[in-house]
Order: sequence, then structure tokens, then C-alpha cells
Amino acid sequence: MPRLVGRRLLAALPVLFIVSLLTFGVTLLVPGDPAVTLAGENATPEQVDQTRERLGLNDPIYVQYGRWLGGALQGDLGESLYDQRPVVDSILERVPVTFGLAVLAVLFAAALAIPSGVISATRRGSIWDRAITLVSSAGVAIPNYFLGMLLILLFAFGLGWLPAVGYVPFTESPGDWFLHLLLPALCLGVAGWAEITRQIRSAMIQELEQDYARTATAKGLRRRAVIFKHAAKNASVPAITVTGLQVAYLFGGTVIIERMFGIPGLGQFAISAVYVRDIPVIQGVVIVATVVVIVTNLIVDTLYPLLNPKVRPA
Amino acid sequence: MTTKNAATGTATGPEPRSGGPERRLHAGAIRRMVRRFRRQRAPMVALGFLALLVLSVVAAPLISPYDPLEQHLAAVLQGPSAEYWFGTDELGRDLFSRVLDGGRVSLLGAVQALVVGLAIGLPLGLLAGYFSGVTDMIVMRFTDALMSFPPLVMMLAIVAALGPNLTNAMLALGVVFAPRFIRLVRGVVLALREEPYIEAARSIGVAAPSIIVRHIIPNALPPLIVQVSLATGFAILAEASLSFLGLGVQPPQASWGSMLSQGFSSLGQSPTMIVFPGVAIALTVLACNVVGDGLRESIGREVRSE
Amino acid sequence: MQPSTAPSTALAGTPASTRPPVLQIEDLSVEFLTEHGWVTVIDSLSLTIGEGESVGLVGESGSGKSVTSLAAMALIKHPGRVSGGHVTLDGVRLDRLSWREMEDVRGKKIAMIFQEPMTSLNPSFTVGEQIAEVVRRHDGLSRKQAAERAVNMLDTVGIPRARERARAYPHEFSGGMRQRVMIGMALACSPRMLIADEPTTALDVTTQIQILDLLHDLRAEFGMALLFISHDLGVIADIADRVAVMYAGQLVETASADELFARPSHPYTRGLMRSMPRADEATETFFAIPGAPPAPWDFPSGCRFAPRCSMAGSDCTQGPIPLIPVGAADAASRCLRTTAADLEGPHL
Repeated sequence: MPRLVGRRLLAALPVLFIVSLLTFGVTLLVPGDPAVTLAGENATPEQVDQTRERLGLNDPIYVQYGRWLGGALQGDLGESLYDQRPVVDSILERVPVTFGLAVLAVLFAAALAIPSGVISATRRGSIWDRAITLVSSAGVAIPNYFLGMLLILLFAFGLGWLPAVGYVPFTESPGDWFLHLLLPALCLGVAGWAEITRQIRSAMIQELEQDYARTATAKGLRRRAVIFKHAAKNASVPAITVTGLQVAYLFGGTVIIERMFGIPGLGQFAISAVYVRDIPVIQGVVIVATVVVIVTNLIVDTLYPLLNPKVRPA
Repeated sequence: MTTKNAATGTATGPEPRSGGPERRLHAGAIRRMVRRFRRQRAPMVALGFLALLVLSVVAAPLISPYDPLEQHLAAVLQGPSAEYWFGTDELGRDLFSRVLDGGRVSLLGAVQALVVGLAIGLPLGLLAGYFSGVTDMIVMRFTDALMSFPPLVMMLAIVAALGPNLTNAMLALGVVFAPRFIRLVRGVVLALREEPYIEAARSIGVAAPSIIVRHIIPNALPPLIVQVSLATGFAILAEASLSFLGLGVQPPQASWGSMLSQGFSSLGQSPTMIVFPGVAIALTVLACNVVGDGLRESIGREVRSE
Repeated sequence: MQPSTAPSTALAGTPASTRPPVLQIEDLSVEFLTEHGWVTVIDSLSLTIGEGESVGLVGESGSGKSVTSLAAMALIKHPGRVSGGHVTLDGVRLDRLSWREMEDVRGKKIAMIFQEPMTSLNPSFTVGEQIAEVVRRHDGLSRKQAAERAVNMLDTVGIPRARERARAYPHEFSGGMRQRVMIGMALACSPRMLIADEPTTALDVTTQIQILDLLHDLRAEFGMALLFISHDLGVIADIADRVAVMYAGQLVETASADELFARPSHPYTRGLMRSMPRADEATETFFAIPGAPPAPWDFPSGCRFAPRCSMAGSDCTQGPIPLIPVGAADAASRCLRTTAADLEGPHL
């Protein structure tokens, strides 16, 4: 197993390298003289020169890249152009917030998708199946922020059960933390729930039609053992893959959801940076988010052998 | 399974395996796809909805009761009425006219993004699949890297660098689509390369462009059409997201996403403002997905490479 | 004997001997929902298997053998349904049991092994676990005891280094070994009745013989009744005491194995026998029955074999043909031409 992880890590290296190239390349996309843009709209020519000097923009591109990458590898992602704080510090401050939101969203998605996917698969064509299929199709199509507004209207404005916006850190009050994140996490999780449900449904249908499922029934195993032991173990591989893929979309989702619900996480941070075109901050968030996605895929990859003995190294 | 065999009564040996000559599809594949598609009810309804939508946003100037930018300051934040079918916004602009106008922005944006995605993805996919070797390796590593970026985060970075407007946003979305199209086209090419008739054509010295145009593109088309229809749904969602964040379409022009963002700030006073643009997005995306799924069902298993 | 005075089909369902019956299939009909509507794929089939008896059920694919076996396990699912008759196991009417009660019967009193040893085992669990779970389920053994029983079963079915192999996954076994695992799994709770649906078809000839020998030995050891299903009369000859021949959803002939192989009555049975490749005859060409079996929605109203039968006359297509007792005890054939005179000479 450790060897497998090592191999995967090694395979991820070139991808990470290209990711760093592309992320650094964002600076090159800035039209005109980046120093002018980066120095801000009302900068004097002196300030522009200072900026250029400070950011080393007079050096050749590959030197700039080398410097940036060298810093990044040591945990230095530069300083914000806006408040001059180290980008890493600001990111680390916000990671727990977004992490909590994302974990809740995935938990909701997966916890709800398992029953809905299984019910859909085992009662194919029933009213339940059709209802779940319909709702999950809608779940992928509805923008999560639109859903968020509807939920705010209902639960915050209408029923008054939940706070509409705001955030309370977990360390301050776990209960309030949960209440504040409930709606955002639900909105964020809906698309994932829909995708995972669809995947579980089709995988379970496929697995329950396999000969081994018939064998398990012929052995006199209880229906739930056939479903939750025999079919589920084989269906879990595609389901986990889809869940892993959701993480990438989750990051996009947090940007909007955090902004809507006033949650001071990475997404909120990123979007504020986009408004002021704070390129180092953007780069920092992009790198962190992408590394998280790659690591998630790595984890999913290493889970396969646990679930599917065929790919387990002998 | 045994029961199935008994049910169909044709249990005299295994089904003839698809593949082989079946792979030679060419123009017939598209015709078959259309025929199978037309037999499905939900996708046909969805396609009808999309056609109607396209028609009404194109004919928006004729249908719209008001200029989408015209302000009726005497009637701000109104709910739906006979005069203003979908109500008005905080500047008294007619929401029905704005939904139609915004629909045009959303759909045109999606088209822009798809064109960019295909313009990058198609040639690179062909290149990687056809020439393999080092070319393939380099293209695929870049594809892997591009696919690791969370789509919206990548779009934010590109928009931040290029400046916030709809064209830049859709350019960014095109870059998000590109690796997905590269993978698909490459996959089709790789599968086809092994086909005897392609190998034969190569061995007798038929030029690559000719093989690509005559054999590979027609075969790549059905799965590509499926992906394009699904990508359209994603494009509309993404455009709405960026415009919602104020990074896409710029005021006073509207798109469904920016209308939602406007509506959100007036959520307390006029909750109906969000309903129509929100439902418009959801229905359009749903229709694109249903059509995409229907198309996927319609292509023969022999070309269902993804 | 005159066909018009032939007794009803009831005779064919009588036990082969004085042995008490274990599995009784009585007047069973099964239909499936197809694009042609509900079509009957098993038509009033009766078959009794006595204690410790081995019955071979033979027929071409599509004749309804597998559906019959699934019906005996009460495993017919949508789009299929039992439309008539019933199955009795050890005096218990299976159709009167709930699904949950039936779960207690399957694997405990009646077990089944399937054709595809490659796919019939779950790839994600060790073979030991797949055997152990049966005894945990039915015999209430602890995890440890069940694992021990699994090792014993693997040993019984002739898997070398059973203790070690119990921890292996199905993909680490060859086809023949997997089928041994399947047999071990089926016999783990010592069922009274074992159904083997083409258990050797997917195997090569050498392995086939080994598996047949194993089944033969274990049947004696465990004293269970066996319903052995195959399209291959040669395999049936090796293992069955009594043979039932199916064609197009009907039983067309039943007789003791000795009787059937010595004096096949039904033209279809004779066709099947002629199409068997034989070691003792240096035949140049393989014989094949002309034509193909009809699809269930195209079953002829008269004799279903008539379109492929060289002996068919106009009377054969008039109406349904009953099972007609022939010479030996309990032997019957669904053919109007099953008279001594017709049995002579080259047919087909």
C-alpha cells in the first residue's frame, strides 16, 4: 500500500508542476503592463516603478517563475497587493471555515445520497424512484445560490428557524456554527447529492443484476445483506469516485455560497481578491484549491484497492 | 441472465458482439442517432423547450413589451401584474423583457464558451490521439493539470487577470471545457486507430488530414454532440454564477445570473424578483441535461466511448 | 396403446420409485412479459425428485430449463411470474411462503449452483467469507466456527491448501476451482436438494469430468437429491438416475436414464442423442436437428416439435399433445408416434 501511494504521488508530480506553471501564468494574462494593473488604478509612475521593482517584474519570466515556485514550495505565496499581508497567512486563517462548510456539504450529500440511490435502484420504476430521479435532475440544474435564496426565504424570513447569513466559529459555539452552516452546506451539497444519487442508482442496478447477487439470494441471504453487503461493496467504487470529483465543484460552489451567506472563508476571500485584481491572492487560492483536489483524487485512488481486491497489489 | 433469455426466447447463443464492421458508422451514425432520439419523449419535450427559448430570445425585441433598460420609476419592485408580467426591479425595469434579454446574453455566452472550448479541444485531441508519442504525452499532462483546477476557481483567476466582462468570462469557461473535449476526441481517435480500415488507409499512405476528415471526425461527432449539449447546461450555470458575482455581464445589461444577484439584494422587499430568472436557469439547464442524456441514449453502444 | 385413451399428465409426475419425494414441481407454468405481451415459457410442467435421487433435466438453451430451476428456488422475478401450479419442497408449498420465509429455505434446504463460476462469486469478498456467511446465516454459527466450516467445505470439494485459499479472492482461482467453491458454498448447510444449472458448461472437458465426479461423490456423501440441468445428454448420462427432456417449455419425455438411453421414445430425444458426438463411433459428420426451437410467443398450438420433426403428420398439429406413458414404468413421452412400430427405422 505505501508503495502504491508513492507511485501515485510520483505520477502527480508532473501534473503539479504544470499546475504551478499555469497558475504562475495567470500574471502573464494581465493585459498591458502588469505593474500598472497591480499597482492599482490611481498609482503614480513612481509607484508603478516601485511595484515593478518590488515584484521583480524586470527579471526574465523564468527567473520570476523560479522565484515564485521556490517561495511556494517553502510556503511563501507572496503578499497581497491590497493589504500587504502574506497570502499564506490569510489563506490559513480561512481554511478551517471553508473546510467545515465543505465537509458538512459532502456529509449531507453522501448521507442523503446513499438511501436515495439505494431506494431508487431497488425499487426501480416505483413512484419513489421517479420522485428521486426528478428531484436529482432538478438538483443538478438549479443554481445553488438560487436554491439558497429560496431556502433563506423559507427558513430564515418565513419560518425564522435559521439565521439567514453570518458565521460563528466552531470554537466559539459548535451549535451556532452548525446552525449558521446548515443552509449553506445544504445548498452546496445538493448538486453533489444529485450526482452521487444518480451514480449509486445506476451502479446498484448494475450490481444487483450481476450473477453474484443472484447467488447471494440463492444462498438465502437476507435482502438487506444482498443489497448492503454484496452489491454495495462493488457499487461503492464508482460512488466514491463521483464523491471525490464533487470536491472540485465544491470549491467553485463555496465562492458563491460563502459570499451569499456572509461566511468568511476561502471563497469569500478569493472573490474579494478578484474584485480588486489581487493576483497573488488569486494565485494562492488557486494553488491551494488545486492541491486539495489533487490530494483528494489521490486519496480516492488509494481507496480503490481496499474496495476492489482485483487491483490490490499481490 | 437466464430469465432474460427465456423472456425474449432468443437464447440460441450469445448476441452478436458489436464492434468490427459496426464501427464503420460515418454519416449513418448521425442519422441513426436522430432516429433513436426522436423516439424518446422527455428529450424531445426538452428539445422543444430549448427551441422555443432560442426563438423567443432571438425575437425578444418583437415580443418584449418594454425596452429591457427602460426605467419606470413610478413602478419599482412590483410583483407580477397584467402590466408587468414578471414584475419590475428596483429601477422599475420590466422583468419579463429583462428575462428575455438576459436569456440572449446567457445563450450567446454559452455559445462563445463552447466555440472556444471546441476550438482548443478538437485540434489538440486529434493531435494527441493521432500522433501519440511525445505529443500525446505533453497534451495529456496539460489536460490533466487543467482538469485538476476547480472549474469556477480557474475561471475566477482568468477573469481576475483579464478583467471582468462577459467575453473574458466565457473565454475562461472555454478553457474549462477544452480538456474535457480533448479527452473525448483523443479517446475516439485512439479507439479508431486500431480499426483495420484505418490502419489499412494509413498503410497505403492516405494522408492524415484526409483520414481525420473522412473517418475520425464523423465517428467523434456523436459523442461530441452529447458532450456539447451537456456542456451547454454547464455553461449557462457558469455564466450565471460569474454574472451573479458581478464578473460576467456588466450593468446595465442583464443576464439571468446578474438578475438573481439584483434580486438577492431586494430579497426582503420583493421575493418574486428572483423567481423568474432562477426558474429560467433551472429549466434551461435541465432541458440541456435531458437532451444530453437522451442523445447519449441514442448513440449506439459501439461509439459510447465515454 | 392408443393416444386417445392416454391418461392425463398426472402420471408423469409420479415419483420414480418408492423414495419419498423431496422436490415436487406440479403443473408449473411460468410466463414472462415481453413486447409480445405475457408469454408462457414453462407450460404445465410436473417433475418429482425423490430423496437422494439424481434427475437430469435436458434440453436446448431457451427450452425453459433454467427458468424451471429458478422457479424451484422461488426466484422468478419481474418480468417473469409463476402463472400456475406450485413447487413443494419437503412437503412445504413454497408459493405459500413469504419472501422472508423463503430466505430461510434457500441455501439451507435447497441450494443451487450456476453455470458461470466466473461471475457467480462476488469479486469483492474472499471465498472463505462467501461460504462462511451461508452457515452464519442458516446455522447460526459464530464468525470463528463459520470460518472453520468454510475451510472444511473447501477441503471437502477438493481445494488444496484450503485454510490458506479460504483467504483468497475469486479472481485468484481458475474456473474449475471457482466451481468447486460454488459447490462448497451450496453444500455448506447440507441441503436436502441441490440444483445444478449447467455447472460444467463453462469449463473445459477435463475440468468438467472432475466436477462431475466431485458432484457424484458428494451426492452420495451428503445424501441429497440432485436436479442436474444441462443441454448435454452426455453429461446427463454420467450423473442422472432419471432424465426429463424439455422442449419449448414442455416436458416431452421422462424415463429412467437406462431406459431413455436404451430406448428413447420422443423424436426430439432421439434427435438429441443422434447429435451427441460419440467416442465409439467414428462419425464423419455431426448430426444436427434441422431448424431452431420456436420462440415462446411462436409456440405451435399442436406438437411444438412438429415443425422440426420428420415423423409429423396432420394429427400432430391438431391440438396439444399429452404426455403418454410408454413401455417402462414411469416413462412417458409427449408424442403421438410413440408406438413400437414407429420407433423402428431411421427417423428425422
